[in-house]
Amino acid sequence: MASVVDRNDVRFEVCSRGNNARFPASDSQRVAQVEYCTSAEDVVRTLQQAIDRGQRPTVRSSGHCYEDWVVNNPGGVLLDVSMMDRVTTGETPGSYVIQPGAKLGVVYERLYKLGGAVIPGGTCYTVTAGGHVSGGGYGTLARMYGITVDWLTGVEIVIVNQAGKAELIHADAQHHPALFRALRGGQGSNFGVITAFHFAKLPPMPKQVLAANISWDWKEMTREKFVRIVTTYGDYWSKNDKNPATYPVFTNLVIGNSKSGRIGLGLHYAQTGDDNEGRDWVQEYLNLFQTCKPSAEAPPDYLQQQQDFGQQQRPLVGDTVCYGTHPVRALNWVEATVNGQGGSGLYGSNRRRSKYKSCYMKKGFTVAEANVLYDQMTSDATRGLILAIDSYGGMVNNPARIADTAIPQRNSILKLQYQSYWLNEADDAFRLNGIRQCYKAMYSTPSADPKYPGYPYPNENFEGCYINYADADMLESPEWTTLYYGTGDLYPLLQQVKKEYDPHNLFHHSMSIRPKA
Amino acid sequence: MMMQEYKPTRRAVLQGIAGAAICAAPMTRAFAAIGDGITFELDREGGWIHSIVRGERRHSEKADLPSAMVYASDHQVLHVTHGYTSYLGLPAGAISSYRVEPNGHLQRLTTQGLSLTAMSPHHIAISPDGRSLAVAAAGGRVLNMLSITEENAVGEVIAVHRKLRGGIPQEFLFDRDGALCVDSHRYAMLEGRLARIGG
Ligand SMILES: Cc1cc2nc3c(=O)[nH]c(=O)nc-3n(C[C@H](O)[C@H](O)[C@H](O)COP(=O)(O)OP(=O)(O)OC[C@H]3O[C@@H](n4cnc5c(N)ncnc54)[C@H](O)[C@@H]3O)c2cc1C
Repeated sequence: MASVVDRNDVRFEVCSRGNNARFPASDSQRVAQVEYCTSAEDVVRTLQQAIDRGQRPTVRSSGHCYEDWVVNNPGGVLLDVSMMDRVTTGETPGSYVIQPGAKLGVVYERLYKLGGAVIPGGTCYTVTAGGHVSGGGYGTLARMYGITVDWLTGVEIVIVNQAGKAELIHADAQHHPALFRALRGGQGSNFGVITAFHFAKLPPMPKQVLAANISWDWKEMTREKFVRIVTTYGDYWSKNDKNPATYPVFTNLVIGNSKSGRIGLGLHYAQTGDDNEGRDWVQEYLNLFQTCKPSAEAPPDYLQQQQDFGQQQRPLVGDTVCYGTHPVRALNWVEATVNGQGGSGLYGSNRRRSKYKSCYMKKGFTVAEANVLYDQMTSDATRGLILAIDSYGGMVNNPARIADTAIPQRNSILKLQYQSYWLNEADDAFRLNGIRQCYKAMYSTPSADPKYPGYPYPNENFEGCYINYADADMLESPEWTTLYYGTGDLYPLLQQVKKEYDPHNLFHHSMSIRPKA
Repeated sequence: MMMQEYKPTRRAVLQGIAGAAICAAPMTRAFAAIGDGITFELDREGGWIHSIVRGERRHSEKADLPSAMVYASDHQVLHVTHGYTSYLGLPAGAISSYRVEPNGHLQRLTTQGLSLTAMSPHHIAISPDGRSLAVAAAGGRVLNMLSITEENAVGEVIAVHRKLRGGIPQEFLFDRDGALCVDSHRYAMLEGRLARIGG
């Protein structure tokens, strides 16, 4: 039986909140009760009761949703499946079943123990499979293994049929194939409550990861240097997306507003072969951004610092400096992925407010874009803003997957996430203006489609946005569904699936699939 | 469909005086809420709210898709729903509150979105204590309960009730105890939700 937390319960205050402290937007928006479900049967029962009481259900696995989709549900029911968190082997050899409440950190650890396998999922330990997998799910192994939904072979989901009855169904390529495709990136929250993900096989976990980084101090940054770093970063992936030697690589360029300190370039090389694999490549790549000084010039404690911290010199004042070769750490893959993570599984206790935006880029940055980014990141108006520019593509860019998943972005080489974090509600307007201003400027250069200024509307340079980096500001564009689901047949298909499997549009939120009129 | 002039029935007039709801007949050009000697007409097709003071049209306020109204005579505030299918990019209708001046002038206090899926609202009622409003929206077969703010304007949606099957409530009212009477059932706010009470 589900454990029910109603408004009189001492647990209610925390468990009716989202991980993003902006939600619920006010007390009036809170649900009437949270119900912790521990099995698929529980989900069916709880959902049916909610329907019979006339309440709107929303679903939560971790509460990491960026927008108001879950906890803004006035008088409704929040079905929390975070305790459905098992990761097990499946019926056939090499297959796995992951329940929606399983945290990614736990997924990596269990898959390692169960069979040395991995999902090419995200980097945050506490994000859970429920929203992450059903919305696409990508991470540092994307160039090597594609995205998580590329490996998904079946989904168990509780839907509500035309008669208003909750029922558990299994969707895969043979059974409910259209629903199955929709659940491979179209976000579960549109269709029902997912109770399990099935993977007939998964790729092997890398043995070791080579990690390296360079960082620059804004105090030593000039416009020219900034433009050079940003364009070099993008150009590399433009030229090397299809180069198999780069498939094991993940890079991210993280640019904070100039008041926040530094610009960082991080690199991960996932080794599946021997310890030497990729080491030359790593040096060559980092040389594009920084030339090391002769070893003879290294200060006496340089080698010791590298051994102690596994990275370049501390304290981080000025640009990082390397002597001889770039320092590289070799870490056991699973340890590097799982260690140092953790965090509470009780979402709502975090009081951090946040806002995110995203963009898929098919080409590197133009000089004009890099200049706009420089202007934005040195502006007082974007204080606190961070832009993470992840390498993407490689095995993700398999055009065949456009047709059997709900992730149509298969031509991009970079995936961008704009982020802003703050604590006080009083700063909402400033922070939201900052991130909006930067985003609008970035997609108002000649690279953007002039018909849709301010948006990375799909064209020869951009491929829209990522639904798991939900951004309700996109609703201001009449074309917001194209931004997320592309210009092809996908959105009409999602609408058709919605009509068939959620005929009452019971599973809805601000950015859910709009039923066909 | 034929357009017809709204003629307030005796029941509707009484409701208007009590500050409760008057239901919109489909495709009716104008209908009225009566209170304090002022009658309001909604021109649903033209998008106007007219104030008629002692038989004369004194003020006309442009309003998007006005679909239903209720007058809170205690506070001289008129609440009007907008029959949108989309409001600020969301699949929802909206509701506006207007302060009514003695000369019939309307001053808009606020406009507030209804809940998701509460599209094309068609009926509205105000509770006897004047602290809550109920709105029915045919679009999503949804009932919304909204708060009334200290300024006597409409506040946020505080509960949503949705029947997946059966008819859409056309007309409802609050009874003397503050329960919302919809068809043959009574509803009240209970532990944060709009719950069916009684038998
Ligand atoms: C710190 C952080 C790091 C992140 N890093 C990455 C990353 O590296 N890669 C990446 O791809 N994404 C990343 N994300 C984004 C993340 O994938 C999405 O926010 C994702 O939707 C979160 O899913 P959840 O289950 O953890 O969160 P929840 O808030 O529980 O759910 C998110 C959405 O999915 C729906 N949902 C959840 N469970 C179910 C279910 N069982 N059935 C149906 N619908 C369900 C919810 O209703 C909600 O709409 C990150 C997010 C955060 C906060």
